[in-house]
Amino acid sequence: MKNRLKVLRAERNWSQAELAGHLDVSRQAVNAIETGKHDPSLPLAFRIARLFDMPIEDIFDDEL
Amino acid sequence: MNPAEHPRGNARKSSRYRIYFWLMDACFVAGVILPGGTFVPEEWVAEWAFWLLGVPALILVGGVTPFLITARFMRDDYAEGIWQRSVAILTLVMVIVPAVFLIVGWPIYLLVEPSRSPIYKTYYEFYVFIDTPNPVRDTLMMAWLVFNLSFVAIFQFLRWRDSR
Repeated sequence: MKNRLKVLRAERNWSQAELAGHLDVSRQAVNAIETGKHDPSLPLAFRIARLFDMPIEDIFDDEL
Repeated sequence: MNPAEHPRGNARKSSRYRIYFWLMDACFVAGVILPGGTFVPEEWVAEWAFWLLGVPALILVGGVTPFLITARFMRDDYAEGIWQRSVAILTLVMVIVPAVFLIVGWPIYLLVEPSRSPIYKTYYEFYVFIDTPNPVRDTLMMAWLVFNLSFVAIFQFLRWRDSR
């Protein structure tokens, strides 16, 4: 699934490790999500949406 | 959630997640050492090598790997995803591989030694410990070790593939 996580992270000048810290996951998890290798679980998707204060569908898009 | 309130997130949990991957790396190395060591003649193995490599490898494969497989609290979202994919693959392997052994064993055995029952020969080859003094215990022990090693190998392969 495509997503805008990398763009949103870059806009805030966060490293992958910093974003991982905010989301309470490992840096590998952030990297895997950004590269589309891992689709986050629904709870994590909600955490990401809350962190960036955006609806889930604005961050993740299965039609991109 | 205000990111400024949690600049580094939960450091203890992050460490746990990192340690999980490090331990999995260590178990993978041990998984290479342990089966590799069984091919080395006993007289070639120095005692220090046995204690320095063999024992830690056995502890990692036999103790740490089962712990990692069961320790849900040490896995984050990504590790849990790999764990689930590993279990799915391992289940397929466990169902398919013995069946393939049996099916492939028939024509091979008929060609090589047609006088004996192919199913017996295949069964015999598959359960390699059938002639040991404790066949059930030894077979269970080997199956347990192979299961642990296979899980770690599949887990690491999926991690490696994701990183490319």
